Amino acid sequence: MELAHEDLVLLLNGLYELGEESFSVVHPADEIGELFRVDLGDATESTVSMTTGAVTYEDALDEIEREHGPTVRKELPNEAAYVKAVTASRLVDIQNREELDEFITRYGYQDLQEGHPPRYAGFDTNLLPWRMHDVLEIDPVLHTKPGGRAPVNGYALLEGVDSELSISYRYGKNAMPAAELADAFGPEYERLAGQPTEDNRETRLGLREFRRLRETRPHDIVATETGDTGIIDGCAEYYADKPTGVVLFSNDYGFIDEARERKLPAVHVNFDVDFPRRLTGTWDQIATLLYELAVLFGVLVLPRATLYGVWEGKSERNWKHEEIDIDTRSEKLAAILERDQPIVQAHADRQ
Amino acid sequence: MDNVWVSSGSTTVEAMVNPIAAACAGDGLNSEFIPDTVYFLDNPGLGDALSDTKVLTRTLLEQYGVESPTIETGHIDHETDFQGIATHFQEAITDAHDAAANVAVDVTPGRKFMSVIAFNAGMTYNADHIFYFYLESSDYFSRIYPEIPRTAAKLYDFTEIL
Repeated sequence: MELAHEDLVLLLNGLYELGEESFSVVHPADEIGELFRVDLGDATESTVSMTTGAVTYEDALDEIEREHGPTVRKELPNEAAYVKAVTASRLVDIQNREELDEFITRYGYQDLQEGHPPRYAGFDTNLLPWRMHDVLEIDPVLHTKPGGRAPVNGYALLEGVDSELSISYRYGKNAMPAAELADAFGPEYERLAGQPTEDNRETRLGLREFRRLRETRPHDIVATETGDTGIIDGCAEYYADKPTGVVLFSNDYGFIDEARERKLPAVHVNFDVDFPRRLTGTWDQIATLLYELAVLFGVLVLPRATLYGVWEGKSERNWKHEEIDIDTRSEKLAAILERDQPIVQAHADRQ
Repeated sequence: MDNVWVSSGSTTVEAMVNPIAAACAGDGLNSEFIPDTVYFLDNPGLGDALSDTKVLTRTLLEQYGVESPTIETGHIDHETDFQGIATHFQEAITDAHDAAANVAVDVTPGRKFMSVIAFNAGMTYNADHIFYFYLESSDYFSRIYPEIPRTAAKLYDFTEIL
């Protein structure tokens, strides 16, 4: 059964209904095992206990490399991507929140009623996969203050970034044979045949974010080349004659320095090297965590269900709707999801 | 007619459907309550909300195994037709009793006076249940029940509480 990211609360409700209020999320590889444990309590203050921190995870990757070689290791996210994916769920914050808030206060919150020019946010390729519109709390739809001013008014969608995200996914071309992955990690990986390797799944998350912003938010499509210089030059030239201003965000200090040399306001987004062991958040954030990690790892094992972020035959449409495949190992859970999904669909159809 | 649900009308689809969904799931109840007959109350101010609600209610009840749910709509010409509202609840409860059905009154949707009248009718004419669907945050107002975290919502039965 395929469930969209936004509908993953159905899965959490199904588990809750079956008494699975506290459950483990496990990676099938013996070297990794339990990633974290979810305790579904208060809808806004549920607990996620990170069993495998980033440092422990890196050790597990080293062990996998010793056992199975470097190519197999590359099928799993590196420890930095692991932290970034958890950050994308908003269960942990970016490391330099204060600096970013000051930066946004300085350049954003334009008073359009008073004739201030709009300000658009532009993201470097390395930030697109991690839902920065929401993590940075700058999205005009999600984070406009009751007073009416938005942190930014839209997005500068940089063609160079689009190209960097697009050229890197290679369906079935360089992915390892699924049978070999299954030998290394577990039989679940047999279902990943023909799907992109991990780093390409990461860029697919970025591409999806790019397109979502293009489909649903005010934006400029900015013609740029690829590479830091190409992207920044294109952006500087585009906005030189426009009333609209731009602010740039990157996880690369070189990019930030170069942008500032071109007089474009830019700020570095820092991720922590690890996360606290005990996290607290909403069910929606837990749903996002499951979605992000299912795509990055390919497979997550929960009680009564195995989640596939990619699977043989995952289509463009599946990517567009941010769908993961849920293999229910429990008839009761399957029945609940099959009961609830048409209700949710009927509700969505009327909107 | 085994289980009857009597509700009023609302401009919000979710306010009408979610209490029924919670009752079908047995959320907060000793046992689930799956109606096969549902009464809503229309008035000119509701726009399309009620027709959407009827479609959604039918899907919901079918998913809970009710093959051909009966969905009735009463009408009042103005939302302050208090007598009309009272009659809507009184007649539905009486008809259910005549058919030896279990009857639940839902006081969740509608204006406060509709809830007051519904509650009074439920107590006066001995409804088996008087339900109120409690949501802990307005963040979930526009969501359909299966997408609301289970711990954020609860269905109360005032016939047990009061």
